[in-house]
Amino acid sequence: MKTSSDVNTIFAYGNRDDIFNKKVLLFRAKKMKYKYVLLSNVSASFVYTYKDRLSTGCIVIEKAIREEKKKRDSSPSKSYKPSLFSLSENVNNKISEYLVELQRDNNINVKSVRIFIDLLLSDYSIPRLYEEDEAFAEFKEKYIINAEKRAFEVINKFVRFFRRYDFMYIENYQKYDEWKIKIKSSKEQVFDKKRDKEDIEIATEFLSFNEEFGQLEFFTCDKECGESIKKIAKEYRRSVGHIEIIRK
Amino acid sequence: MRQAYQNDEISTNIDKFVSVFRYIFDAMFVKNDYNIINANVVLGKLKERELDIKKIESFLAKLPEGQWNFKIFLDNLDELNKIFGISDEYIMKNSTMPTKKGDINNIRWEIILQALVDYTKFSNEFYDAFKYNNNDKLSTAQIKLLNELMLIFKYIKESSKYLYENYSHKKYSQRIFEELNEDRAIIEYFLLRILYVSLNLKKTDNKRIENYAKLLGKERISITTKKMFMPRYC
Repeated sequence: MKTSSDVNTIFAYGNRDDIFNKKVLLFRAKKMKYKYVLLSNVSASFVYTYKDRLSTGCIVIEKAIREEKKKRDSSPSKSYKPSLFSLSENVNNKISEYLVELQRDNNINVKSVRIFIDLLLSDYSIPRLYEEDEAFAEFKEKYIINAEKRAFEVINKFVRFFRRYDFMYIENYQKYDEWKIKIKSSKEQVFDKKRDKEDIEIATEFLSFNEEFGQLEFFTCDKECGESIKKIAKEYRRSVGHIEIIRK
Repeated sequence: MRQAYQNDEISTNIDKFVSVFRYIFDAMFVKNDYNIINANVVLGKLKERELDIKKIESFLAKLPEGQWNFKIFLDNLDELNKIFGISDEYIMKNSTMPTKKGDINNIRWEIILQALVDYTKFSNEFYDAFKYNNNDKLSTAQIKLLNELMLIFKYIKESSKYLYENYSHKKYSQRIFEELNEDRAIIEYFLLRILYVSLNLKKTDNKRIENYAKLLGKERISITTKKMFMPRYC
């Protein structure tokens, strides 16, 4: 049997504080003998979102340092020369503020963002980033590349648990565009009135897979996404694998 | 025929096409003026470089506004070839010696290899320009877009260099030509995507900028990640 899941399940798996964490772990354990199919849209969305969260932390550092530099350069007062210690403190405060915001707005595992930032700052200190343009450019390069690598590590860890796995590419599908049109022209109220583009892409891929490569199961923590896929499949009389909605 | 090619009688369109990105990125990330990055201005710049902007405009208008995938590129290959490619007639017309069908293939092979060197050169330049960009006025959304472009140019510079090193010593054959084209097409897909995004950006709209950063990121990841997965069981 083949199974698949959405982006939320992988996030829940990687975050111990997530309300779905234990349920996803249990569910995954039950399915460990299945072949896991990593849908192309799921892997791209997960990697991008995870990377985006890590790198946004670094963008905060980048912006804070640039702002401090600008403030110092444009200050008419010659006495405005904060020490590198106070500068570091300002930047660190901004990072903390940002992380609080991030946790509040996105319910994410801030610990991993914090660790990522701290590791980078152990290579490039804030005073060095402030003083050396070359180090600043290297820092930028390093954080965007490393953030993506970290995202791949998490997704790799998730799929490796299954005995076998496979991953898909959009070019593998012949019916992809057809299913996208079908979802968009559905008479049902689905995917937040068809505004949730990310879930629509995942559903399109899932339905195409079922039609072209055989039955595939799907598990999700997102009730709306799961229900919407069921409605679409029913509307177009497409038999699909079991869709499991993991509830709180 | 090699002689005709080396005498610069025939050249790739890469310089004409990709050099327009210098203008776009300068306005976007250095001058911070998205007002001049509208479709008319960018198309005007392409026109200055002797590209057929009417064809480009009508072709880009047909492409979807939302998420792209590589299939879109493959489905439109014929039209892309007409707009950006180098035709057999062009090669015949510009060759300094009598040209047969077999010669055309050899010349085309040389042009493609030269194009790979051009891609490496340009993407290396753009990558470093982004890396050392010192503009303190960029919003978070703009930095995200800049970072995504950096990653795309990193991919282009590494893959085009790799392809050139692997194919430059080989002689033309249909099989090798097709093999190279499979990898080269991804580079050109990304360049087309960047052009499309550039034509649809507006300065005041950070939401739109962030959305394009996200789309570019997801599209790049879904196309280029084969190597990132290390299966334990197969």
